[in-house]
Amino acid sequence: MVGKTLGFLAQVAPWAVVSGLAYAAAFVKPGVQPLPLPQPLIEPRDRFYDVARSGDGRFWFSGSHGVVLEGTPDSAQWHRFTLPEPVNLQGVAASDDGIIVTAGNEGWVFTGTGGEDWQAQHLPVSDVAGKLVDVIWLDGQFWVIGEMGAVFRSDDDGQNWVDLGMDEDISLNDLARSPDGTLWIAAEFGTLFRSKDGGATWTGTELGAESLRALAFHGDDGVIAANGGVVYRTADGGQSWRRVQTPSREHLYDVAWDGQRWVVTGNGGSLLASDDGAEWTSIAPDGLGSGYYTRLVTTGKGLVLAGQTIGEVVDGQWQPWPPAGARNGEDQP
Amino acid sequence: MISRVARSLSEFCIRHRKPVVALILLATAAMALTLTHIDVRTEFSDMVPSNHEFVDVHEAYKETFGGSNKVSILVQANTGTILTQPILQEVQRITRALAKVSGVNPFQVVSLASRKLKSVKASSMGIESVPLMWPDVPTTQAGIDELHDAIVNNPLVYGIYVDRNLQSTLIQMDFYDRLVDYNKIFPQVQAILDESPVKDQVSLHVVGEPILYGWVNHYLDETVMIALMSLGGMLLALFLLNRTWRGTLLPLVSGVVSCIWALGIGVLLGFNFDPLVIVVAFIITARCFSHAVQMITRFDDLCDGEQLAPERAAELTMKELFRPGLLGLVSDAGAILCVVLTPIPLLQKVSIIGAIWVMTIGFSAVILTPVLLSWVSTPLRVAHPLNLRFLLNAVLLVAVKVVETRVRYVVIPVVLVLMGLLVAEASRITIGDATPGSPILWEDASFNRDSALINSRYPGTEQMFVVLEGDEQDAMKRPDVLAWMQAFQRRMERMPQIGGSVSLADIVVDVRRNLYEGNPRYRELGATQIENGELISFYMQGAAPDDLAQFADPVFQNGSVVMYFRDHKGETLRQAIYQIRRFIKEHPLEGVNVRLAGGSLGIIAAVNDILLSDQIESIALALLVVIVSCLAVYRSSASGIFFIVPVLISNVVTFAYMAWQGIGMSISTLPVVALGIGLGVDYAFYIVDSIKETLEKEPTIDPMDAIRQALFSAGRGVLLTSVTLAAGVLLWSLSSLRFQAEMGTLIGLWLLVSAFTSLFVMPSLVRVLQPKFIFGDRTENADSADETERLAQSTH
Repeated sequence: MVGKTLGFLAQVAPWAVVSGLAYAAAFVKPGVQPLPLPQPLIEPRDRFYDVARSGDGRFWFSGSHGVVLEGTPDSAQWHRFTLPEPVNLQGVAASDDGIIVTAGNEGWVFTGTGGEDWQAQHLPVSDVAGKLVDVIWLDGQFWVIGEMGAVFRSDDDGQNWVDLGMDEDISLNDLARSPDGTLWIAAEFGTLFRSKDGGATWTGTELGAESLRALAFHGDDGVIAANGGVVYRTADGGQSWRRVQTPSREHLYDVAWDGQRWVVTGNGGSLLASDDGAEWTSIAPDGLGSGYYTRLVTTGKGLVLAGQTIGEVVDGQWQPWPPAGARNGEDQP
Repeated sequence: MISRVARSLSEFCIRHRKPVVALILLATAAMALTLTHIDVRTEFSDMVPSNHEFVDVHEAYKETFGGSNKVSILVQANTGTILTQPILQEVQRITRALAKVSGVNPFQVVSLASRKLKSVKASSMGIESVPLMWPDVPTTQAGIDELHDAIVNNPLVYGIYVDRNLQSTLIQMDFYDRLVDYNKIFPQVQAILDESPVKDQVSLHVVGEPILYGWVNHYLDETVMIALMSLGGMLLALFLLNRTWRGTLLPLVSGVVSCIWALGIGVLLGFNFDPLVIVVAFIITARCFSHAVQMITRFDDLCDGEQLAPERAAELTMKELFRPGLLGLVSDAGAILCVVLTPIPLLQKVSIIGAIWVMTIGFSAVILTPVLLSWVSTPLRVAHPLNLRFLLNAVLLVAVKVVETRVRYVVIPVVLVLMGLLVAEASRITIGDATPGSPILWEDASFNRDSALINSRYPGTEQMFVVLEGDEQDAMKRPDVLAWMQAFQRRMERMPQIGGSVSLADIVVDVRRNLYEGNPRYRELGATQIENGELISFYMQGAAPDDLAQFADPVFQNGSVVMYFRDHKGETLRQAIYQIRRFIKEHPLEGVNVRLAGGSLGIIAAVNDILLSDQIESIALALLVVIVSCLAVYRSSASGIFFIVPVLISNVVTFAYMAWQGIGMSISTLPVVALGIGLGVDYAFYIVDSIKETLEKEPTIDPMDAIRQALFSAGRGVLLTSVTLAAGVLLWSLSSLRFQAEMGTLIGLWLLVSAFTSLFVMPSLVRVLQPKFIFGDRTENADSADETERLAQSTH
């Protein structure tokens, strides 16, 4: 009986082997263990446009595709937030109480405190050009400016917004206040606006053909960063402006007083400094990217830059952010 | 039936030995004449599988979205940046010279010095699109500074064609696939690079499929030299072990005749011969040697042991070994012919030529060798005094002891346990390439070093593209389509193996930024299809009509996303394909059909996709051939399972070795494995058939004596050929081509495992299981240890 069974099995076995292999050939495919592809802290295609520092020392970067990045240079735990609308977030600002407001394309404004919950608002902007270019925290108020002369102000931490728009086809790029309380707006095609009534009415002045990108005051001294490596300086609180050509021909996007000198940044990794706004020299450290930088924030010990890459210039050294080994504390799909 | 044919054939051939030899030699001479037209070259189209969706996409769009034969040349400054006049002139010189290379598509030579790379400049006054450095190299420092600014501000150039440290630049060229001739491209490109007038200022590095196969052709002389050395090594081993001229020269004659016939038929069929598959030729020649050696060994036994005259011994040799010889050849030919079902032209050619080659052994070894042996004069004389046969006998004695003693009962469980462990290891084998560089060349080969260098500085040297097919013209200008491209690129670039990607969306956002005074805040898509169309029109101002060909067709109905990979490992490609499909599923796009995947990596992914199933299919069919052959000869399907054992063991051991050594299963290993099945089964045929032959011839003989005789006769031939051939193939490890070195090692391993399985496992199986197709109804008698000693002595 056993012999017969074994004999039968021997007869069948070769066909079984071939049949098994034929089945495998038909149905077995090379397997793949799918990688989760977790959201990295920074993607190669991320672009940042603005950075703000909140009172607790945290930095907030706003960028393309609705991304807000939050972290501190000495922390390995950073947070990447993807806001509900995947629009490019052009500006970000933090109030003294730690309220974060970021604004971007199509009139979108988001308000948060650093957690997952961001309150979205859609401001009434032009259907043709509705980009909100910048958010500024100024003396207890949030200001948002943008295309088509859009100006909005919030007196309650971004909950409600007052429309102070100019109703002009012009893109507004930056807003600042001079010591005498005058509000100034740098706008495209060389136009500089000023308002002595808190933004209710605006008066424009043509400084030249190149678009004005940013402005800042230190006492009565002020500097405007403009396209083509041009800056405008004033020593009388904005009564008069004088054109200065820096050694760079690149567009300059931001200017700040770091406590000792004026610093401007812009395209092509431009980073220039001047004690008086008249003579400029490059202070770009080795390793600073050749791409653009749209915002610089002074920290007391250095300069934080936001743009094609983000990082800090300390003691003439470029330290890219997030620091090596930093992880995304809020992994999102 | 087979016995009758064998008897008639052997009688006829020996009786008419002169005409038979003359006929074979005449045929050989005629075939030799055709070899003057032999065509040794690699053809890319031979490696492209048919009937695969990826290949369909590649074939449909390769002329526009990128072929599979791109060549990248890296010009690297030895010190400082490339932004010096001599280096820029060198880039220009190379670019211009490349346009004259055989088969090149002159519109697809892209570099800083070509008109393809443009600077889209904008100011408050307007927008203009001008070539970066065409037609002239800047002659002043101001011009070079301007070029610097244009490079760093162009995301389609900075990091893609010029590295971020400005220390190197890439020149890329593509070819018309139908005009590609690797034998011409490689030397022409090398000559252009060798003529560099600024060798002290730059280093030049070149990669790409045409260059890779150019290197393979470059090493053709070395490959032939190693093949000859290997052949010489085997002949020397045969001479030392056989101690006779006939034992040395007749296998050579048999191998040469087979080779000439097979190559001649290949030439007549219009086939080209890929230098990479020369190892396949080597395996078949090994088969030929093996059959010839079996003939000579049996002939010697009959002449020496049974004192037969050479003519009679030759006739008996042919008659006795006709059945296992034919069985082995049919199994070999059938196994390799199964590969013809693989839809890859290269493998189909290898399969057809391989099957023909194997069948020619029937004439060269099974007929010609015994016929030539019939002229041997007696008594048989040794050609040298050094007798190394004691080494063979020592091994054979151990084999006999295993069968004689109770060790035979341990053989099966030990083999099963070992197989279990090896199967576990073999299951880790990589489908596709297992190394980042080309597995054809060694890791430290200049091609692989150049490839690693370029991959470290640029997004990647190898490309895959997916195609978006719109249902109407201008579909590629739709904002949702362009946004899909962007999102897709973001997702795919999360894979560390993907260094970057480009699409029409990258062009659109860059133009829009420039249109807004270069303001990066406007580096985004247009809000409407019309706006995107206008942005594209801006880009095309002053551009050549095909400047956007890489990204979309002329009516913008179909577009592509091109991904740059840092390696082409099988796992990388499977992961990428999985992620692409996942993204497409999660992000459906209305009115657009997304198809994958073209480019060189699309083709490799297609090959990998079918490789495993084809490999298993080949094994299954090869085993089927073995079983059917056994059924026909032994009239027992149970015999099939018996002969499958050595095949499975050889397969498993080899696959486990490949997994252990990181040798991926590729288009090139497939025919080797199929042929290996023939190798695995041949030795078993000779030994088992010898046992059966003895039992049939001497019905009263003790089965153990039959096994013993088989081991000392056919077993000696098995051991002799396997050791000899394994010694020969070891020389392949000296090859500059890693693939050939690894395949040589694999074949050597396969030969030894097959031989040792036939010597140490099969006899034990025969004795323990006593299969009916060998033993009939007889039972085993007592052992006779004295017989072992006698047989061992008789073979000295």
